[in-house]
Parts: sequence; structure tokens; C-alpha cells
Amino acid sequence: MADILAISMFAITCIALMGGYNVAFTLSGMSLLFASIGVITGSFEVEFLLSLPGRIYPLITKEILMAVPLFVFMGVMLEKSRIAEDLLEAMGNLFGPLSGGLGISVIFVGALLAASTGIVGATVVTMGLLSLPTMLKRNYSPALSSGAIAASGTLGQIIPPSIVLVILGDQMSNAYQEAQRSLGLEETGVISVGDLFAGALVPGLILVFLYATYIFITAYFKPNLAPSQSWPEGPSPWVFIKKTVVAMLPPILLIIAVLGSILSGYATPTRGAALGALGAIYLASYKTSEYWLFKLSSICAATSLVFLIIIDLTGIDIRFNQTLWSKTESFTHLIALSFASIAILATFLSLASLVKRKHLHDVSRSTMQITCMVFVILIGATVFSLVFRGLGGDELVNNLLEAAPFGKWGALSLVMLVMFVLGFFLDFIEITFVVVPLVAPPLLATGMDPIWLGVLMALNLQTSFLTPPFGFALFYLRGVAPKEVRTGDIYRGVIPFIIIQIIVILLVVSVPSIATWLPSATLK
Amino acid sequence: MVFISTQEKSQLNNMIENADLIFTLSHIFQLLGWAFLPLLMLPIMYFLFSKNQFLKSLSFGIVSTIDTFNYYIGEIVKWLLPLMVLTISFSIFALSIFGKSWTKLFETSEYFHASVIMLGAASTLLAGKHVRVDIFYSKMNNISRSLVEIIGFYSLLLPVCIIILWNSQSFVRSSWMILEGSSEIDGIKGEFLLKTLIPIFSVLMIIQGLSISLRAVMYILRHEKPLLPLNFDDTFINENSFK
Repeated sequence: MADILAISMFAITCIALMGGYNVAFTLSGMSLLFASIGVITGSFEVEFLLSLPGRIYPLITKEILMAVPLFVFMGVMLEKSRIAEDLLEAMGNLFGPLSGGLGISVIFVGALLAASTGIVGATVVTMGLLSLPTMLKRNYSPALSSGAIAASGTLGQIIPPSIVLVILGDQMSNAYQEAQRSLGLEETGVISVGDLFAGALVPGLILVFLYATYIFITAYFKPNLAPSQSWPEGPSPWVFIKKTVVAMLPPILLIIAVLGSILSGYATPTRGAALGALGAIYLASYKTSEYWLFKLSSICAATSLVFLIIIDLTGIDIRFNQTLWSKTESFTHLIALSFASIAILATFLSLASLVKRKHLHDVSRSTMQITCMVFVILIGATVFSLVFRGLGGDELVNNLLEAAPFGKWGALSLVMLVMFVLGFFLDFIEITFVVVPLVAPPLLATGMDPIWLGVLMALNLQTSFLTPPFGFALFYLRGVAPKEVRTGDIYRGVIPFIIIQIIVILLVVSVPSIATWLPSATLK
Repeated sequence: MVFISTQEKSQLNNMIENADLIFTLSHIFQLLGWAFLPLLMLPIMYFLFSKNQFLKSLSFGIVSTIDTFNYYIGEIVKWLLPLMVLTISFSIFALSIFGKSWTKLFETSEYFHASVIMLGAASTLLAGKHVRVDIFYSKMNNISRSLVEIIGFYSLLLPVCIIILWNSQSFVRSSWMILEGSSEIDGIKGEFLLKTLIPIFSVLMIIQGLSISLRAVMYILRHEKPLLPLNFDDTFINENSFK
């Protein structure tokens, strides 16, 4: 009886989600309905629900999940500073004469935007609004343009830092510990969000490279699909190169700084995210303010913080609570203190410029809304998994995976297939929170590498979001695409990119070191 | 024989005194909850007695009060986010460069984070920013959308929030009795406040859901609705696009 309830709960919840009520409360509300049926039929103990507040509490206080609002803040702030617009314009001009140049620029800008925001919907919508009209105006085929935009938009999940990798990493590390416990092993290894970031970086870059190559090859053999254009009249190419570099440098430096600090172990993901958000504040205040004082202060703040970090990296001990001060130490200490005071003062000036133009109001509001949306889903998914477990669903999944043909590979394919199909109806966050705790421990118990599995799941879901007719990215793009782009064009356009996705998934399956090499290298 | 030091004894005495007070308080809150429970039937009553002037003005007042209340809560807690960025950044530099470890400062950001989520969720609901699966929803007309809101409120949101609220009673009460603090020695002694955010979250969500389903009923009956607060123009009903 409990088994039937567990299965039908999953199926009926998926149907109920189509109704269009809030995902978080549909998940949790439907599960409560089945819990009450379970109580009546005696297959569910009502005491299970008593632990609910105790499960919600860690969600809102766990340090690693604090990275989510901070990354969202960073992304929304960067969006406000309009770096994507500048970058796309400069790169489009620069690479215009290359075959497929504009398309390749769109892929790179999309990847960069994806790395900085990490939210699929936001990236697809921004890129769709920004680049689709330009591409069509330059006679790019609608199919190729929309494919490139949808594909580069979904990169936000796989290219770190992304909020979905934070949540997936957290779930994976829980699952890994559970797998170790169930095997009776001592805690031989733990994985962290930083490890997953490192693992996803190389596959993500391979994807970007393959996307760009595909566009280049198409443009080379079928120039009418992606016509190149001559240099704009007037200045020499150097002007465009300079413009591109100026537009590209700040966001790239920011992303490298955030990723570098996390991957090198200098900062936890939460702290790295906070630094990234701070950097985004400086960038936005520099870009949006028209007074030189504010522009100067954001540069001052950023440079003094960089100098502070350089001082820290030199290894000179300038901590307050030491007794023996050498001459260099006290001198450096003094310098560091003055840098710190400059940074604090200049930070407040930059913030003031953002407050003055009401940018901080808007950024904080959208950050709050996105953050609440994510965490309320996490709460809803927690209720769902609690009831599913209470009905014995985890046993069921466990048995199902054990019964899968061809051993662990069969089980893995089954999980991947289910996640792929679920990706049509649910967001990454819900799938991660509901499915991963159920399927990951038995899979990991067969000796699979957790980072490898996490990267595979992320790639798989990314593909799912691209796949017609239900892919999320396609809906977002359809929402902002002009009428002359037909839905059929979008569907046809993404197919080559789906093939690229499948190639990369198979590549990671057959050569696991693509995902596991960088984490093990940064660990040492 | 169990040895109890005098200090522990006085703590224990304090706890027992606290316990009485907190039990009384929790009973009062529970009674308040029961007293307000009938209000949750308001959307249905409004629908059944749509001609009743008293119900009409009562609902109008309730909707605008709840919306304004939650809107301003959201507008206040959103400022905790930039504060969170600043406090965490500050504590990073203080720790890694000057060797000053302010656990309290870092933990404040935890309080900010939790407050933003738990107090801002209702404001997000008001703004219609909680994600939906809109494959069919985007094709529905406004009447069906209103019905989805009403059915969703009574069958999904309300039961979930009431279960969370009911089950958090002992969770919060036991934390208040010992005035639970951080597990770090130099941390903030306010963990009981953090835990209290959970029932507050449920209450805020329930009242916001009530307000939205009242709006939905008003829409179905073609009655006048209170204006939405500033910046919030896209809740479930898109007035401009009748299909």
C-alpha cells in the first residue's frame, strides 16, 4: 500500500504542477494530501511531520546556502551595470568580419553572463532581448540564432559559480556521507561545493568551445546562415579591440577572482560569493554613476582591497594579537590599515552612488525575491521528500535501482533518464532537492565518484532544459523572441546543440578525469 | 548521586520560572490562532454572500492592510542583503589579514540571511515571484487563474503552513525555555529568535495567501479591488492581457 502511495504521489504531483500554482506549495501540499491518505490507511506515521521545523531550520541557517543570496546579488548587480550590452556590442563589431563572428560573440558573452548570474531564465531572457534582434538584423538564420542563445543561456547552470551547483554540491555531500555510513565505511572523504565548482569548470569550458566551433563551421560552409560583415566605417580595428578589452576585463577579472578564491581554498564559497557581490557593487557604481567622485571611489575601493589581498598573500604576519613586531611587520601593518580605511570609506561612497540612483533598492528587491523563491522551493521540496521517505519511497527507489539491468551502469542510465524527463516539468532546484537525496546514496555506494556524478547530473539537466518541446530555456526564449522567429525555428536551432551536449555527456562518462582532474589538482 | 553546582542550580531554577511563563505565552498565541481561524473562511463567505456590504468592506480593508503590511516588511528586510554582503566581506578581511575573528559579526549575517528568507517570502508571494510551471497556466484566462489561486490556497498553501505552524510549537518553545544561543562560545545568544522565524513565516504566508485569494474572488465577481503597492504590478492577474 505504502509503495503504491509513494509512486502515485510522485506521478500525481507532477500532474498537479501543470495546474500552475506555486511549485513550492504544490509539492508540499500534494505530499501532505498523500500523507493524510497514508495516515488513514495506516502506512504513514503522523509523527514523521513533527521533525519538519527541525528540517527547515538548517535550510535557513546553513553557511553554505548563504552563498545563494550572495551569488544572486552579484548577478543582479552585474545585470544592472549593463556589462552584457557593452560587451556584446564591442565583440560583435570586432568579430563581425570573421565567419560566424557575431554568433561566436553571443556564445562567449552568454557564457560570461551565465558564469556571473547563474540563473537560466535571467540569462536566456537577457541574451534573447539583447542579441536576437541584432543577429536577425545581420541576416543570421532564425534557427541558428535562437539555438545559440538558448544553449548559451543554459550554460549558467554548469559554469561555476552557479547557485544550482551550490545546492547540488550541498546535497551531494550529504548523500556521500550517507552512502559511506550505509557501507559502514569510516568518513574517508568529503566533497564540498568548491569541489563541484572545480569539477564542472572543464566540462563547461569544453561546451563553450564546442558551441563556438559548431557556429564557426556552419558559418564557414553555409555563409548564408551566418553572414559576416565588413568593419564598420571609420576608425581602425585597434579601437574595437581596445573597446572589447575594456568591456571584457572587469567582469572577467571579477569572475576569475571569485572562482580563484574558491577553487584555491582561499575562501569558502560563501565568502567568495560575498567578495564577488562586493566587486559587483564597485563595478555597477563605476558604470552607472556620472560623477567622477563616485567613479574614483569605486576604483579606489577595489584597488585597495586588491592591495590588501596582495599583502595577505605575501605572508607577512600583521595580525593584531602578536607580541613581537618586526620593523617590516609594523610598517606593513600600517599600510594595510590605511588601505582598509580607504576601502571602507570608498565602499560607502560607491554604495551612496547606487542608493542615489535607486539601483540598490531595485537590486536588493529582486535579490530578495529570487532568494525567497529558491528557499521556499527548498522548504516545499523538504516536505515532499520527508513524506516520500515516510511512505517508504527511499526503500522503493533503492530496490528499483538494485533491480536495474546491467548493474550500476543500468541504474545510472535509469536515473539519468528519469532526471531528464523530470527536467521538462521541474526546475533544477526541485529536482536536486527531491531526487538527488533519494538516488545518489545507492549510486555512490557502488563506488561512483561523487563529483563525476554531480557533473553528469548537471549536464543532463542542462540538456533537458534545451530539449523541445518542454525545455525551460525554449519557453523563456519564446517569451522574448520577435514574432518572425517561429517556434519551429527555435526547435530546429537547438538540435545541433543538444547533439553537442550528448557528445560531452558521453565524453565525461567515458573519460571521468575531465570532471575529476581539476578538483583533485586543486585539493593538493 | 548527581552533583549539581550552585550556578547550575540557579540556572535550573531560572529555567523552571521561564518555563511557566513560556507555556502561558504559547497558550495565548495558540488561542489567538484559534480566534483568527474563522477569518480564513472569508473568501468563501465573500463568494457566497457577494451582496453583503459588511463583508465587502471588511474584505477590502483586510486585503489592503495585509498587502501594505507585507509589502513594507519586504521593503525593510531587503536592505539586510547589502548589509550581509558588507558584514561578510568585512569579517573576511578582518580575519584573514588582521587576525581578528569576530564570530558575532559573521553570525549576524546568518541572522540577516534567515530573516530575509522567512520574512521576505510573503512579500515575494504578493509580487507573484514564486515560480510556477506555466505550460498551461500561460494559456489560461484570468478567471481560471483566479480559480487556481483560490483552490491552491485552500488545498495546498494553507494546509502546509498550518502543519508547519502547528509542529513548530514544541520546537520553538523548547528553544525559548533555555534561551538557546549559538554553538560557538563567542557567538550570538539568539538562536531562539532564529527558530521563531519559522512560525512567523507560516503566519505571514497564510495571511498573504488569504489576501490573494480574496483578490481572486473579487476578480471573479468583478468587484473593485484595492490597489497593489508600488512596484508590484504583476501578480497572478495580468489586467492588460485578456485572452
